[in-house]
Amino acid sequence: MHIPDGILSVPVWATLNAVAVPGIGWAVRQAKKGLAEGQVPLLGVMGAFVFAAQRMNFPVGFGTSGHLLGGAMLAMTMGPGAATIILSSILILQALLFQDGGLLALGANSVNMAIIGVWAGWAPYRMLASGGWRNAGVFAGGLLSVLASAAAAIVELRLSEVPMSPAVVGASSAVFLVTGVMEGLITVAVLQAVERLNPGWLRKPEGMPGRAAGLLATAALLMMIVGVLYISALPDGFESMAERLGVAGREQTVWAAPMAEYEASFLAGDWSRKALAGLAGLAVIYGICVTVGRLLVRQRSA
Amino acid sequence: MKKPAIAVRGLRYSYPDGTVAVRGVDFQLEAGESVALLGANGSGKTTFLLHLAGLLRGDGEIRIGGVELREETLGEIRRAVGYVFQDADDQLFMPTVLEDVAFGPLHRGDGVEESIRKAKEILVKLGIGHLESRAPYHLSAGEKKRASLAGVLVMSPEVLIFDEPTTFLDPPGQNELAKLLNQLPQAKLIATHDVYFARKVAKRAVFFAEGRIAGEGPVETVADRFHWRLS
Amino acid sequence: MRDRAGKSLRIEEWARRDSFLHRRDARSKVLAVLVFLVAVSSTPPASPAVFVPIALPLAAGLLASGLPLGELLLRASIILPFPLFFGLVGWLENGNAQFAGALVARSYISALAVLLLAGVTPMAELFRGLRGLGLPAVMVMVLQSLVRYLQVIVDHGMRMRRAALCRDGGAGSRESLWRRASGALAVLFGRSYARAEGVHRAMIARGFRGDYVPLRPARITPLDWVFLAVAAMAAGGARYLAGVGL
Repeated sequence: MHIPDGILSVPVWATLNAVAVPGIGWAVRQAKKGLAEGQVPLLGVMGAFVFAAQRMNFPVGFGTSGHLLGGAMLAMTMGPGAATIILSSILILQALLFQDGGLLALGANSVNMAIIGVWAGWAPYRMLASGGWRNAGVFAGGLLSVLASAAAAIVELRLSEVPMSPAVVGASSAVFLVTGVMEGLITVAVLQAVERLNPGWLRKPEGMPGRAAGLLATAALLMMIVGVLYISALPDGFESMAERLGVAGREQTVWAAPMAEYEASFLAGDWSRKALAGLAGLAVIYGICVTVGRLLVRQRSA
Repeated sequence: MKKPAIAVRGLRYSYPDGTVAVRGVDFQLEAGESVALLGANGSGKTTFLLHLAGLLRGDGEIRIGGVELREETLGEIRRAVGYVFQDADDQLFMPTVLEDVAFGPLHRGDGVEESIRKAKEILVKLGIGHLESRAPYHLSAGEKKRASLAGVLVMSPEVLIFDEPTTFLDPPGQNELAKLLNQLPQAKLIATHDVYFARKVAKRAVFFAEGRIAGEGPVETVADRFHWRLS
Repeated sequence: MRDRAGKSLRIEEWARRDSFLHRRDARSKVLAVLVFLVAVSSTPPASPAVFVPIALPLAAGLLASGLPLGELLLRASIILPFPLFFGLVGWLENGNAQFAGALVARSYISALAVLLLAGVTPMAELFRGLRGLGLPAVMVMVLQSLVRYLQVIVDHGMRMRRAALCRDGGAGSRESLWRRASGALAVLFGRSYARAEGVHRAMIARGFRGDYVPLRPARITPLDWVFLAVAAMAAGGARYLAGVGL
């Protein structure tokens, strides 16, 4: 699910970089609140743990095996903010050292896995664990974390006009579903084992609705993801969706349309404008990076 | 008369779960003196040592070079105490040896150029100047120990604390380390299981048992009294 | 997946070599690669031939690096399944083989450029460069400790697995295998915690008070600026040639 460079279109990767930077910046602030006196090395070591964990095989049967992906598990143990930082660091390292995912696509991969994946993994746990359905929440967390990341990746590929027939979307959704169920089961098993060693290593979700509300919200999240996957499978994708539904999911036009127009103006322009716009986008992202970084430093020293 | 390098009075400590680890320790290390700390695993040696750098806080009084350890003096105390941890992989946490050794001076506020200059100087002094751009992971155990020591010595500490420095070292490595330690002018407190090593680097030994000092004296005498030898 | 550790060792060895590219400042190299990637990414995937001029500056870089070309080309090919898959889907759907080839070329060239960057820049320098370009200190610290303890923790996990295999040869019901694997991960999780505590303690003992001060990279030399300018112009020129259909 690591998208390499050269696949996403310029507006798509540029937008996602612009989303990822403040997203991760926000996570840095969140995580700092939850960590004892700047215990930053813990985040790095836990990143190393995820690498190691991905080598531990869980037999599925039929001679195959799967392994932990870790986004949901990190959210449930280290907290979602810390998990976002850990996963985005892993993605940076994978892009640079292992050619696993691209450099320009870093924003896209971070949004998919380190932000959407983590929060989709955290939400069901937080909502169900305090309602007494802990394991259901953990399982749903693992499952939704994978499905939400996958759905986001598919949407990005569709928006980049990467060819994808409904059959392909359907087949990959099935694969992601199996992966997600595996992730849910492994996350449950690992979290139980971790709790046996030291219950203090689990984040305690507090002050959330009871079982019914939690289940409802989790189901809604699942429906949303399935919906996104379904729309992606439609032959004309997003652009015609609005017309086809008539009423047009308003939120969709809000976020899809400007992007489509952006892309259209890109396609119409000649190469130099396109490349310059890409560079300008990069410069803007860079500017945001530096500003967010400065602000963070200033806040800390203040 | 110079103030003692370490003076501890009535130190007690229990872990948050209630386990008592140190139950009333009085201890003194004179300036320039080297003392070996012997005792079984779990006897409280490491817990005791961690107090000396203010990494754990128990009840009782600790003075380093005459300065009492308090919240306000914590920075000063940590600069005066050089702590070489048992596991060099814990200690060498930076990507390269040079950056690791420069970490201390840099975080003390010495500035980048000055920190790097000091770090390079100490690496050459310890005979590992050629390792400066290497990643700690690829060093041998002996090189790791030296690099750890460099990261501590670069801060010009007045007292050195070693927790099991011979772990992972082969006999030649242990000999080299002993030679190196004997060249250092600082007062040293060395926790070790190895009586031979203790004899090489210290005259006096203190024996720890169940969170107390059970006896002290010349290394040989202490080792005999507590049957602290291979048989 | 399995031989990743070995792969990262190989790239570290490359990065320690010496060449004109190795000697350039990390920041100038990162920026040069980003400009190149934008040039590649903004080229419409009309046909694979479009990417021939685009690949020229990259080829120059590969040659200048003095790294083993065959190994670089092979290693970058690990990204091929992704564009191949979607290229194939496009081919089957609209019979557009040109597009498939172009998609593969576009992402292969991009991966090769990033690989070249990592091959001529030691990780520590790369992180310092990223810091110089504005990556927050916290992220730099996390990345550094991630790289530093990657092998330590992975080795630990491998040793645990070997010990388990020695005891029973990996036999057992699926349930017991699951229980064992999850138990092992939990123990590894605990060890990682303990490791982080040890590291944190060592940092505090050496004067760390929560604010990480990274080493700044050395000053950018005029030669680095020239390199960046030439690289950017080459990327732009190549992009122009690709645009006019040469």
